[in-house]
Amino acid sequence: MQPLLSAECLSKNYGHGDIFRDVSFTVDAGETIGLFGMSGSGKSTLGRCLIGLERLSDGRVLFEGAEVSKLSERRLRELRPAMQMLFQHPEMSMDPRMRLCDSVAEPLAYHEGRERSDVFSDLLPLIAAVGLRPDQFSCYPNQLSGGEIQRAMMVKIYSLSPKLIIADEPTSMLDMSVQAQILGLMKNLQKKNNTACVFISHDPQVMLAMCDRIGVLGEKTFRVMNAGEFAGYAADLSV
Amino acid sequence: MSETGTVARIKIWQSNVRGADWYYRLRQRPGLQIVFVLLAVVLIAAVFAPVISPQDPAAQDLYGKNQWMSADHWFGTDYLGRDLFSRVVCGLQTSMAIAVTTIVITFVIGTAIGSYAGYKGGWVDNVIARVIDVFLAFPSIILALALVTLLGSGILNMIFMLSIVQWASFARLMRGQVLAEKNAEYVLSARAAGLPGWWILLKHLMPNCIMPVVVLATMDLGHTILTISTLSFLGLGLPPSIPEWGSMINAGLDSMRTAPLNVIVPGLAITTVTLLFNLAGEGVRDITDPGTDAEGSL
Repeated sequence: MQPLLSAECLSKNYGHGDIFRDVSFTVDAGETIGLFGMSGSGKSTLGRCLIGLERLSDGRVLFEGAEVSKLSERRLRELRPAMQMLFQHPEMSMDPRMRLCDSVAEPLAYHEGRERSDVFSDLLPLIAAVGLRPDQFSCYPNQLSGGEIQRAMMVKIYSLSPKLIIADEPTSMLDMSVQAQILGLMKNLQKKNNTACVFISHDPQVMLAMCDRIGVLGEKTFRVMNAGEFAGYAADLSV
Repeated sequence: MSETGTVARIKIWQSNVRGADWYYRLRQRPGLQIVFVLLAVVLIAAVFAPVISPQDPAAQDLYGKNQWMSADHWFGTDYLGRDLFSRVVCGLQTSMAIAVTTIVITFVIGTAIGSYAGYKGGWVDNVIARVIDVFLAFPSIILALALVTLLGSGILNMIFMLSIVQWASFARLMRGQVLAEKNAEYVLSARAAGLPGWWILLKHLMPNCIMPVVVLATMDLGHTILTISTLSFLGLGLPPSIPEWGSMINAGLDSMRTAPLNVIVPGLAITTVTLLFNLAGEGVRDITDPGTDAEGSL
């Protein structure tokens, strides 16, 4: 069976040296793969490259067999809803001058050519599923907490029925209890929708809780480990 | 803070109208309120200048020239016996009409070019940025003088020339704003959602980048009025038949010692209006930026 996403020999440099090099892995439908690495190891950049938000220096990414970097702008835009991204700073990931209801309904309203209010009423079950109240969506992002915005973000992302989500340290800015809630929620939604996920984090505990396999970005090396192997590796790290 | 003040603050905080934020900050600044009221008076006076001016600004009375202030002539009369108050009010209309038109044109052109360059990046941005640099490298008044000599005087030429001189500063500011904002996560999120570039630019980047440009526009209104007066003072602005502050000062220079009002009245008018626009510009910045404190601002 063809994997949902396959990364082949990816590398990226900014002119003053490699950010990462020779990164290869595949993601199957519904699977969660982790990307682990220290600060500055290029995890976030790799995440952005995977869905074509940033250009690769070398290598290619195949999404359902189509090479992402070779697609025309138009074709890429059509493909984009299937690959979504959850960001590190919840307070920055929603337009500060838009009410959440507008932000959340915007992509679907655009793609289907419908009114936002109309789309928003379709999203009510999803809003209930992430544990928010519809009236909270009349707020601006600065009026809600990080955890609440991250939930709202999940509504926005899942409204597009993605096949793959790149989660770029989605919980690193949240406190422990909220972190657990958000991770639980992500797992549930993923299972229900059979969504694949590339989970980026520098926290081994979170990795082990979320991922089936884990790719470790070291200095100029990349290795994919299974959960057991990674547990050993993480234990060595903490000593 | 008084209890009612606290209650009012909480109420505003709870309301979901974003405008409440700036309304609250405006209410904290009585000085700024006065500036806005005065500015409103100036704008109304500019629009209704022919109605407000008690006499025909061009009517001469050689027997009553260079008079001091009186009930008949509030600001006195000039060296040809024309009513200075009427001339100042009509001059306001001329200056405001030119300044506002210029600012609207430069605002639209500058933000459009600047935001396109900033968002597009790459060689397009490089080319536009260098063009902006070239325009900013000219001293604006020299460039204006050169253009006036080339084109001749007149209101339309004046607007055209001022627009050429000023669009670049708007474009540069907008470009910088968009550059700073375009990699923000909400913009990436919009791109990831498959929204097209023009949509992201218009619906997300513009609203988040425009405020500093609005502040610049407000301040530049005063600046433009000053430039118009400077050019007219040098005899390069508008034909003498149109009442204008700079040319009024120029014409009054000869009789400055015997009839100082000829120079003082239009001079004070220029100072006041420029000052009001500068204060209003700073005020707009203060009330739209949640980071500023009422302390130390108007």
